[in-house]
Amino acid sequence: MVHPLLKIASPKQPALTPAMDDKPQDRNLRDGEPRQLDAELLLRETFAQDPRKGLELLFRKYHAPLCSHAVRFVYSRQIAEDLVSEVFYQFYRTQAYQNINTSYLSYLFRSVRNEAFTYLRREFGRTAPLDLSSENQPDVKQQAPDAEIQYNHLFMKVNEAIAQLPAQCQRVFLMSRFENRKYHEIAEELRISPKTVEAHMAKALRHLREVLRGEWLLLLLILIQ
Amino acid sequence: MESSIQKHILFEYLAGRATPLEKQAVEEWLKQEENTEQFHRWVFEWELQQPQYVPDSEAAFAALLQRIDEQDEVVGSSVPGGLPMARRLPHLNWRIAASVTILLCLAGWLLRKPLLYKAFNTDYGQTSAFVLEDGSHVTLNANSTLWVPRFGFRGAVREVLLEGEAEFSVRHTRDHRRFVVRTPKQFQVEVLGTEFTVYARPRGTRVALTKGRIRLDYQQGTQQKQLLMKPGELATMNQQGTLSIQKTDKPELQAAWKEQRFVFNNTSIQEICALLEENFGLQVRVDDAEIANRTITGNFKAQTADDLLDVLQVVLDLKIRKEKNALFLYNSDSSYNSL
Repeated sequence: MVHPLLKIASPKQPALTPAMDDKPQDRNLRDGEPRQLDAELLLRETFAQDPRKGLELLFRKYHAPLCSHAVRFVYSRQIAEDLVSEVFYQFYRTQAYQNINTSYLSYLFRSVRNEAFTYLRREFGRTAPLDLSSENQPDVKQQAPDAEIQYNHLFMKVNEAIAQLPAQCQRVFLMSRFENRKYHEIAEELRISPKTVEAHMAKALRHLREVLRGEWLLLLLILIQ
Repeated sequence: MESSIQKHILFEYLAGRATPLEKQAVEEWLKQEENTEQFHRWVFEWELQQPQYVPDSEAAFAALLQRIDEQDEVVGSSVPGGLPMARRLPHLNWRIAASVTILLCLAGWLLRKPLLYKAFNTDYGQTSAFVLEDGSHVTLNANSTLWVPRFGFRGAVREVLLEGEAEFSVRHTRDHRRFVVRTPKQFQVEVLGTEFTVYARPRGTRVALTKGRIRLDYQQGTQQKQLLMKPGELATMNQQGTLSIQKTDKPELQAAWKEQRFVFNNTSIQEICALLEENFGLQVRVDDAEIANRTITGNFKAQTADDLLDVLQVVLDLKIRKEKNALFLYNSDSSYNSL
């Protein structure tokens, strides 16, 4: 395995050259996959003519899958949707659509995964000793190739951690976090006291924090610029 | 190496079910940058097949557009030569940016209102109809004010502010500019081209839609919410800020006041008293709860408050007593007679 820091030494991830661009397409044809770059041709043309219309098409196509993906990291539909909307907003505001050299799909998934990671680190990573040095979020373009793997590990870890929770505790956690419901509503529905709800939540969050603590050290090594 | 990775293996990997060997193979494959595109495509496909939940993309998109427009407004009103807020502070959490935007808009709006807006007023017992510069028709009910931009509609949004009650028939512009009716409460109506009535008085807020499609933006507790309305629906927000939707057969009846008609449908005397105060500035009091809760159904023509009071007297067999600035309604056979 190449040491991650060595990879980071290169200032910018090389842009997809036309030659490399062709490669995935060829493979697509072989696998009978839809050719994404071609499928996005209409999007590109729309963006060139009317960015607002382009944004709408892009949003309709990718919003739901992106939210579904983000929620695997943050386990809250509210937060997931906020993160995804933020990515679309920045994509539009900074006119990133004019100068990206990947497909829109790849850009959006990479950004959402990155945002979700940053969010989780803010929420659950405060206690990690190395955190101080990396408050600035890593630029999407400069991330190391290992980052995608680490993102995968992260959301799988979160999944595992939540699956490990005792049944009632998990239920409370999902109602509060995923569905964004108030403690007293949960207490009423499950017929437990609000204090118990609080205790379940504290337990779930503590567990998540503990499980993720190890992850941050790995991730930070990779993502420090 | 890369050809050894197939879609179903990646799916197993993402689901956390891959064997250690498969996992290693996938991660070796992922380390090669040229596979990132393919990887994201497969993640996309995986999410389409196994969605964790289905978000409300319509509402999310509407909110996004609104945010973009608000950003445009702030950029437009910033100091000439200055950079837009967000560009100077790229790392600012967007929530802060959004609240700053809203605060700036609010502050600017409060200070500039008399300068930038022209007010159309109606007195008690008076209605007035006029055409806005974009060709939209507005009819104002009694005791209402509509603020319209003094120098014409500019930018992507045509915006007016309503206190009171009015009927709008909005002209659709060729460039699809949105038309927004704001009310003093955190409540706004947004349309492209359509007919509807807005009621925004201290007693509550009410919107009836005759034609087209509109979106309501309102605040519930601390949350911004949105609601899409279809023709024939009546949205009512009470003083506590709770919004409810009802079907009405005749949404146009909400604007019956245009023809000096009053349409009552199981309307309580108490409500009619509130109506008299809003439209004619008359204080009408009913001390007897039994009377206050009696209801009227029907369609009455009334130019003045007296016309309406006559109707009440006849239909309900009530008497009216004047006292200082207020009127009292009471039963004609009650003991008040002897007073």
